[in-house]
Amino acid sequence: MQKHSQKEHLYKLLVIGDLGVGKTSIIKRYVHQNFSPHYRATIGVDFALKVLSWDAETVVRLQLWDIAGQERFGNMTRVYYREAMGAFIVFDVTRPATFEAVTKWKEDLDSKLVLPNGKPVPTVLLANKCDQGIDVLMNNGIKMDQFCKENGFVGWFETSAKENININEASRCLVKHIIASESDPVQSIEPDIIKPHLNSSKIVSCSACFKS
Amino acid sequence: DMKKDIESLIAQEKAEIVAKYEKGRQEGAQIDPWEDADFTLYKVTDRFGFLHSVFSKGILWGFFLKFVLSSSPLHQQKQQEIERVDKWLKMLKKWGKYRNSDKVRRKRKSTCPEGWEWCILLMCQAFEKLIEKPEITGKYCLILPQMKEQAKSFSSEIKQIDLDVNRTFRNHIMFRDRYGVKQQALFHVLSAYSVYNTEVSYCQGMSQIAAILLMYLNEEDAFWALAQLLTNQRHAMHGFFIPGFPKLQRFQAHHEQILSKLFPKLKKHMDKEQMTTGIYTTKWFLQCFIDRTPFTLTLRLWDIYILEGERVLTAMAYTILKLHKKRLLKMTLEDLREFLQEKIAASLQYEDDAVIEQLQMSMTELRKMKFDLPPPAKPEEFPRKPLG
Repeated sequence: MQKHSQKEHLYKLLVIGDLGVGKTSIIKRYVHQNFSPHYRATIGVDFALKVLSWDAETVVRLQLWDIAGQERFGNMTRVYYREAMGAFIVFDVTRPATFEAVTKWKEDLDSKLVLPNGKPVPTVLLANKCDQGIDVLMNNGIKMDQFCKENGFVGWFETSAKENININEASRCLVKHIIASESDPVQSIEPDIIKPHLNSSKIVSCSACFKS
Repeated sequence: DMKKDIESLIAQEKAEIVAKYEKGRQEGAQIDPWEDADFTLYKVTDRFGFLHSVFSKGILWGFFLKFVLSSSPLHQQKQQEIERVDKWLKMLKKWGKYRNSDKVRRKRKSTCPEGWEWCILLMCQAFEKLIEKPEITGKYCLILPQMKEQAKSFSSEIKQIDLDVNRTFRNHIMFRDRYGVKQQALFHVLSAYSVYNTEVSYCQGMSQIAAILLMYLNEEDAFWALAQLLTNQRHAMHGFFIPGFPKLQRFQAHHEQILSKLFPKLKKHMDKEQMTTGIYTTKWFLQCFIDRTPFTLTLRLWDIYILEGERVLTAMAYTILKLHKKRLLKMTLEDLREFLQEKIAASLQYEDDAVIEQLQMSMTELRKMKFDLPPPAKPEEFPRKPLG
């Protein structure tokens, strides 16, 4: 056992987005490796812990904060943004209105929370329920990479909590950016440009993660 | 252009949702297989299933009956329960006529668990009050259908209500079927209420309360019971659900005060771990412990809540911490979360009766110290706009 040489990081991450987009499902999938179509609505806030062995020397403990999606809870839940190091903003690919709300969530996040160096916290966009076969983005011809660049997301993933698609990948991408922003506080990080395909078997990776 | 698209999509989505609830589970209804709850998820015991069969007769007195049953020492013996319930049902249908008669008094003696007579009487009164309908217009029976109709066009919360109906008590037999009868009723009650009380409209958390009412009441009575819970003096939940949650804040501040005065060490520990009251008491206060205590206990807390009002919220929050104080003092933030949000929802580690006894002691204790209630509400907690 070489435990003495291990470094441990604790990162608080926020999971935000409109009501019913699957925030709780994503967290449960990631932390407990299961899925139920019948989770209860999150009233207020909740959180869960995920421990990652990042590499041989590093253990990363992620505290994932599950924030109620209904706008009314906003003032109550914003206090839990404090000291967060990264965020996922989630929308539901089958519901255009939840994508519309993404910029609102992002602006709100950036206005309430900045890193100690004054920069916005690294944020990854999750296009959830990609297993449902209805894709708002395609129908509207939205260029996601462009969208992420313009709105300051460090990356985006099509995810499915139900089918366990891309959730680990999205998390690794976010953690990578958090670690990078910690170790080199002045370096600006290029957005990740990826477009994972549901039916492709290749391992999805995030381009900026190779760069850093 | 996309904005316009989205608006029409939202309108279309709304119309589709309304149509789906209207259709229910009739032939031709399109329901995704995954939308129906899995049988393996069906956890609520047949004890409540049994109650369902009794109350689906459309009896108003579910809460009261359940109270009789849940306090019964004979609760394992279903046959006896059924017989006793039938006797009570017969009488309660003509409650107005019998309420003060010798027959009721005698029945109360013979069929009630000993020592509970006074409680049942109070429960009856509280229950009568709960389903009281506004008689001013004399047309209360028209209000719900009107509101249901208005909601179809004017409620902005249709999608949110739909999303929450689909995740409300899905492990309970009544709400298991997507677009089933009780899901339809839940959708109607919530959407109608969202146009009836425009200041509250729909707030997350209300769906489970309405669902608990619907476990014992028909759609109309559940609507009026919800209306009573939100705006009567004893419960005044309006202030819990309006934007800004002023009543929740008042109860949380009071809870903190109780902690600093009575459990200063625990308060210090929880502060250090950053386990704030906002994290663990929100559901306790907004929903009177739904999902945060075992279901059998939740129902009993709701009985007391209906009977005694908001005192139970303060006292139960205090009781939970009191029962587990020593253990809590040793917990980290994650352990505290797991314990308060999950473990005690499975089991408080005491029998329901013992918890209720502790709760009663807490109520007395807090009352003596004048801690039983937070400072009075400001006017902002009450409805300002006319209802209906």
